[in-house]
Parts: sequence; C-alpha cells; structure tokens
Amino acid sequence: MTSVETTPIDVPLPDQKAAKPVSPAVQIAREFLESPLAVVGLAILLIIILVAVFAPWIAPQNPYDLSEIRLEDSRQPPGSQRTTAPWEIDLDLAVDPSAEGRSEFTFGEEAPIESAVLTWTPVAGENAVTMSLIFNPTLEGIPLEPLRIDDLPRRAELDIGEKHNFRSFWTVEVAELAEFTLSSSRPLDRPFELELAIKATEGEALMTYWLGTDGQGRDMLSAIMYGLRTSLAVGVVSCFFAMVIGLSLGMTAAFFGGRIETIIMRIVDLQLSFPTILVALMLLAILGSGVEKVMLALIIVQWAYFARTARSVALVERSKEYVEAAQCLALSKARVIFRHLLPNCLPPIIVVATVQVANAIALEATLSFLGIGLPVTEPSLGLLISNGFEFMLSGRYWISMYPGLALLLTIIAINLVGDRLRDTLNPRLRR
Amino acid sequence: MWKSLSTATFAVGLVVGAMAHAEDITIAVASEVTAMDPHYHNTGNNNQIVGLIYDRMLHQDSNQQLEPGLAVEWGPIADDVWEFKLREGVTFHDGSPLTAEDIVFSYERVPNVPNSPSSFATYTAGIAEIIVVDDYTIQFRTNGPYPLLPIDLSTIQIVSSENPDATTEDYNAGSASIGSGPYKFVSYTPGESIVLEANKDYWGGAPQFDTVTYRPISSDAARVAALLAGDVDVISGVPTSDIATLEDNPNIVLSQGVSNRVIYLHIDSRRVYSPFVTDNDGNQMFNPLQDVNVRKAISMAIDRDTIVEEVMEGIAIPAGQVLPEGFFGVSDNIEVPEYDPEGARALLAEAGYPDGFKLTIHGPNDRYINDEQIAQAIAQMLTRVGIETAVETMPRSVYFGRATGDENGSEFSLMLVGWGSGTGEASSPLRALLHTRNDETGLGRTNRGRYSSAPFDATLQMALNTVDDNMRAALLARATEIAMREVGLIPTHFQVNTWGTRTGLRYIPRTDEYTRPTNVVIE
Repeated sequence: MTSVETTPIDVPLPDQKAAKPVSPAVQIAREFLESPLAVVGLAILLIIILVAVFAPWIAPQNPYDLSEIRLEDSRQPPGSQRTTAPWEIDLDLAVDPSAEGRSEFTFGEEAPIESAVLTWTPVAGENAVTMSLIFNPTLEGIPLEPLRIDDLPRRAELDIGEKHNFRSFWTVEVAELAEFTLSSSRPLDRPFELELAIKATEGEALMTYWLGTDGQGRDMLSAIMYGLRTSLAVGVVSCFFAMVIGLSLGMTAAFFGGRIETIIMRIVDLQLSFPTILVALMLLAILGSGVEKVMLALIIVQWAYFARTARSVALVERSKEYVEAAQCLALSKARVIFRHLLPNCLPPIIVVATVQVANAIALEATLSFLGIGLPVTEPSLGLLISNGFEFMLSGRYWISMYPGLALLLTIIAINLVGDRLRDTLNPRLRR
Repeated sequence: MWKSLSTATFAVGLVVGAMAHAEDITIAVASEVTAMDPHYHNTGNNNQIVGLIYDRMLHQDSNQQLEPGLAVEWGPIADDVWEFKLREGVTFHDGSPLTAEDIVFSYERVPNVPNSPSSFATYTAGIAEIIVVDDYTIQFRTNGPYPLLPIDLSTIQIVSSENPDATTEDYNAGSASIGSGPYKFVSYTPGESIVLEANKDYWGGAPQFDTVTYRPISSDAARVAALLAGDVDVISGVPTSDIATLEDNPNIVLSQGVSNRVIYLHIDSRRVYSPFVTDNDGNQMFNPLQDVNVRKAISMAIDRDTIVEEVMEGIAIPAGQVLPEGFFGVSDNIEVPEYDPEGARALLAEAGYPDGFKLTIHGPNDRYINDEQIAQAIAQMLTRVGIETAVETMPRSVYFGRATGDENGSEFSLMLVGWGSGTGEASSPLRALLHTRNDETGLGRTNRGRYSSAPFDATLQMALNTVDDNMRAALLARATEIAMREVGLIPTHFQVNTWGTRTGLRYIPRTDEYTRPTNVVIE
C-alpha cells in the first residue's frame, strides 16, 4: 500500500523513503516501548490473549462441558482437590425387636472395612431396643462424613446423635454406635430396618482447583480462561465490525458532505445521546440471548463513536493538498477514499478501537452481570462475577473476586496500550 | 435560631424513638403484591397480606389445618348441602356488622373480577347455590358431594357488601379496602410499602403490633443487608448461601419450616414434536418424552440428594411426590426415586435412544430458592446420562406466561416449576398439575406437560367426590401413586423456607410460606 505521508515540505519526498534506515512502524514501535508502563500493559495483554486463545489446550477442565463439572465439588475454596468419588456404604440394619438377635455384615473391596456385627436386645418392659454395631477393623482414623441413620420406625428416636431439623435422618458418631438405644412411644412389635450410611470424606486426588470452584462445581481457573476467551472475542469482533461500519459511514459523510453528512451525523448524535447500556439492554430484550446477539448489540451501540472520529479526521485530511492532487488526477472517488484518505485516517481510529475493545468487554460483562446476554452454562467473566455475588456475604469471596481481577487486568492492560498508542500516533502530543 | 433548631432536633428524636417502639414491625418480603384487591390474583404474595385486612369463613393455621374463622360451626346437612353458622358481633373496620349478605356478595364477586391473572373461581366453581337462612346461617348447595368445600372457602376473603361496585383500583387506592381482619389498611405505595394498623376491635383480640409495614426488597443480598442494618425486623426468603453466616450472628434469629411447595419438572409428554427436543445433530425428532421409560430415565438421572446437599446447602427435602410427608393425601408407598445413572442409560437404550438426544431445560431465575442453580444442576445430571441439555432461565414475568403457553401447549419441553398447595392437602396439586386439562371444569389448568391418564383422572374424580376423610386420603394417595408411576411430572425437592428476625423476635414458620406479623412472637 502506498501510504501518502502528511509531512512538512522540507522532508524528503515519499519515493526517497526506502532510503531511510528506519520505517515508520519500527519508529512507532520504538517510541511505544519507551514507556515502561505501556510495556507492562502490553506484556499482560499478550499473556491474556495467549491464555484466551489456547484456553481449550491449557485449561485443566472444560468448564462448558456439563458432563465434566461435578456438583459435588461446588463452592470449594482455592487449592482444594478434585478427588475420585469417595467410597460409600449403605448398611440395612434389620432388627426384629421381639427377641435378642445378632447379624453380621461382610464387605468387599469397596471400603476399608472387612465386617461388622450388629447385636440387639429388647429392653424389658419398655418400647425400646438396645443395639450395638461393631466394625472390624474399627473405623477410627478413617476420615468420614458424619454417619447418618435413616428409616427409623414412626415416632421412634435414638439416644445418641441428633435428628436433622426437618429431615428424617439422625447424625451419629462412629464411637456412639458401640451401644445405643432406640425407643418409641408406641410398642415396637414389628421388625424394622434402619439404614446406616457411611461415607468417606474424600477419595484420591485427581486435580487441584487452584482458584476454587463456583456454585456448580466449575473450576474457577478454567472458567476464567474460557471466560476471557469469550470476553475478548466479543470485544474484538464487535469492535472490528463497529469500526468497519463507523469508518465507512464517517468517511462517506466527510467526503460527500451536504445532505448525506447531515443524515449520517444526526443518526450518530441521536445514538450517542442514549446511554449505551440502556440501548444494549433494549436490544438484547428484543433479540434474545446468545453470543452473536450480544455482539450485534455491541456493534450497534459502538459504531457511532467510530463514525464521529472518522468524520472529524477525514474532514481535516480531505482539505489537504494530497487529496486535491488525487482528485485532480481524476482518480475514482472510491480510490481516493480508500487508497488516499483512509490510510491517513487510521491512526486515531486505532486508538479509538483499542479503547472501545476495553469498553466492549466491560459492557459485555455488565450485560452478563445483569443476567442477560450469554447462556448460564457458558459463563463469561461478567456472569462469573454475578454468580459469585450471592456468595459474598457467606465468605466465599473467590467465586466473584478472581474473575473480577481478570476483568480488571484485561481492561487496564488494554487501556495502557491504548493510551501509549495515542501518545505515539498523535504527533501533537509528542514532547 | 440555634435554640429552635435544637428543639426541632429533639422533637425529631422523640418521634423516631416512638416509631422504633417494639410494637411496630417492618417486614421485608421478596416479592411485591400485584394488587390489594383480595379477589384479583391467587398468589401467596398477595394472600399473605390481604389475609390480614380481610377475614375468611375458616382459617388455616400455620400447618394449614382448618380452624374456625367467621364461621364457628359447619358441616354437611345432606350429600350436597353444607351449612355454616357465622360468628355473631363481628364488625368491619368501618363499624358495620358482618352478616351473611357480605359472604354471599364476596363469593359472587370472585368469578367476576376483570383481568384476573389467576382467579379464585376454581374454589367457588363447585357451588351451585348459596342460601341465606338468616343473618348468621348460610347454606351451600353444591354440584354433587363436595368434601373440599370448607378448605376451598378458607382461601376466599370476605369483603364488605357496602361497596358493590368497587373495582380493583378502588381496593388499591384504599377507598374500598374495608375488611374485618386483625389489621386495617392504611396505605399502599407500589414498589415502596404497604402500611397496616391494628384493628383493636378484632374478634380474636387486639393484635400485638400497632403498625405493620411491608417492604418489597427483591434482591436477596439487599434484604439480608436490611435486616443486618436494623432497617427491617423480619425478612422472608433468607438465601441458603447466607444461612451458615447468619446463624452465628447474635443479632439475628433464624427459623425454618418445611413448606408445602414442591419443586418439580413438567415434561412435554403429549405432543408428537416438542419445541426444544432434537436429535444429536440438532434435527427435529419424534418427541421421546412421550415414552414413559424416557421420563423414568430422566427421573433416575436426577441426583436429588446432591441437589439438596450442594445446591440447596442441605436446606430442602428430596421429593418423590407432590407434597411432603405428613400432609393429607400423601402416599406412604412412594419412595424418593433412587439416583441411578447406569439404570437411566440402560432405560434410554431400551427405549431406542442409546446415544441420547438433545434437550433444553427452561426455568425462572427469580421465583424459587436457587431456581437457576437447580436448572443448571439438572442439566449437568442429564448430560451425564447422554441427554445433552442446555439451560435457559428468565425472569418470572416472562417465564410463567411462556411455560403455561396456550391451547397448543407450553412453549417449552422440559420446565422447572414449583407448586404450593393452597388447600394444604394433595388434591390441590393433583387437580391443577396432573389432571387432564379441561377448561370447563377448571381441572388441569396448570398441566403444562399435558400428562393425561384415564386411571389417574378417574381416581382423582372419585377422591374429589368422597366425603369420608380416610377414604379420600387413600384415594388421593392412590392417584398420586398412578401419576408418579407414569411420571406425569418429576418432583425434585420440597422447599424449606427460612425467615430471619432481629433478636427479640421469632417467626413461627408456616407451611403455606406466608410471612405474617401474626406469626411473629415477641421474646
């Protein structure tokens, strides 16, 4: 592309540019790198982009695959382990309360217990049975969930443990099972069967949830990586299309002027006079949810910024001699607009674009936070933050905080880069 | 200047002090009323408040057992005639006496309230004729034996017949809001508050609070924050995730109670094509949900214990039928379906879907406790047995209209819904959710899956016409067993409600989920 430089007269003519040792791109790059803050921003941004692009290969889990996430692991704090399913035994303790009795249970491979012996003795003169359950080997030292005894006969109670507030089971300790009594307000004349559930607290470690899990058992680290991917994709794609539309309309307005300009610019004014979030909310209410619809809504709310900037830059450029020269050569309008005007309008547009990408990401997060936009099973950063919001009071900070930090870092990084680009691309700001 | 200012401050201080007196109470509820007209909309959010201003023939206590209200004695005097003796000396808030005429007026008004989103007419449809014997005796002739009449009448508020032309707007404005209940209407500001004051002449004795203010605060976090800050004295719907933290707070008292609300899935089981069911490539397919084995497989694939333990954080009860243990008409023979993913996969394969299919589950995101999370959890479980399930949730204002749909059925295929039994016994959900839809009799009006079973309908109809209580309970249980065996709907759990009060007050839970000052105990 032959970029026509807008340079003072005393500078060498364009055809001598090749002789220059440093191309403008390298010059801009050098100048850009002079600011350490911008370099940090750029580095963070590059890392974020790499993480987002390669998320499916580096994330420990696919957080959008419902068969991979486990509800049992929900709301785990950072650093906890995903384990194999812990072993679990349901013992049916059949008791005939009319006489003394004894029964034995043997276990297979599923648990570290070999056998258990249940004995029971009716208490004379009372509606009660004394029972004893001894395990071999004893369960001591094995990390267990509280044991649960369920299916007691109606109106019966135990002298150990505690009945759940509103459910039917009792929670008891292992040691208490050595001797306990079941008593009832009614005669215990029929055999009954208690159900004892023994469950180990954890199985073997499979993976670590470095940043914890959310309310559905999704690994937060993976969810953030995938969320970044969605957020960046939505930001970049919507900005690109908004830029293409805005640039074309803005330059058309500036180049042709007159009624076309008035119509286009009044539409822009009209659009800019509405708060973006309001317009986006209305659009999504009409369009429904889905990634492509969010993108469409963002394009519609953003093109006006590009159109306005493009027009103002193009107006300045249009009155310059090189455009006149191109027109004198009787080049077609399209050629003048796209080959001569456009390249010279680009630098400020690039700056607007970087800032708008950050805005688009923030806007998408806001929309998701408000619960419209993306599907709940494929959370973006905003939705992750919103999901964690309800857990803040209960101290599960990680569900909201880490996606929040990721969003913050992304937007700061983009803005740092954008700021520096503006400084380097705008000669007037040069010191 | 200084002096007058400080006097003014002092005066304000005094007023504030007086307002914070222990006998005033502010209650924050999650949902706003839709109207102050007691016959406009049959929804718990309205009923809990209008039920304070108006009175009913019979009351339901905290466990929805019937108690005398405006009627002191009642009973059938023939197969199809009931007689009610009214309490004498009851007056409306304007001082006029409450007589049989007001009762007749109220029941006649019920079916004629315009634009009612959910009418109480279901509860008056069985009445053929109301006969006023004298000022304090009234008889109801019914269409056939109608044992549920007292329960049905306990849901309808009695208004004054002195405002024969009062519209819903008049009730909202307060000009027609004249009842005979324990509290009088003071003001209703939509979105802001409803203020009531004590009716010292109430027949049941003067209520314990002088002023009651209801404030709608829909955000869970904001409601809890209002209680913590002392802005309100009582809140309903304490979010499950905050319960552990609040239990340790010395300034807050929590109380919990099982509700009559079952959370369940309605399944599109009639249509040949269902809108949100496709094969694995996304093409339309014959609706597999017509097959009872597929519905059974879905039920087996749902790990109710994990939903209760993880999503509800233990604050719910796994469900296998439409009402929890202990309610009238509940079956003792139904167990909570066992979680069995292998069995579910095998059943699906047997039904001809070894590779499953695709489905979308729809649900509200602001109606039931953790509704959105439950929908996601169910999707997770169904996906694991091979039914790839997407989730779509939406606000209730959009959701319920679409879920109920029109005469062609629901807009959805699998939907998460809940039902609280307004009558406190099993016929309410069975009539509304499972009976074949019939617009004339009002049965099955909320049967969104269009389950239809002749044996079920016959058993339920028999139950509805059985006067003997034991017999009716057995028939209702039998009907429930049929519907659960045919998987007319898939219950997941019963809601357990949590109320929070500031220390010094305690809330006595109600199974109908209402939040009322009459259930607050000062300690």
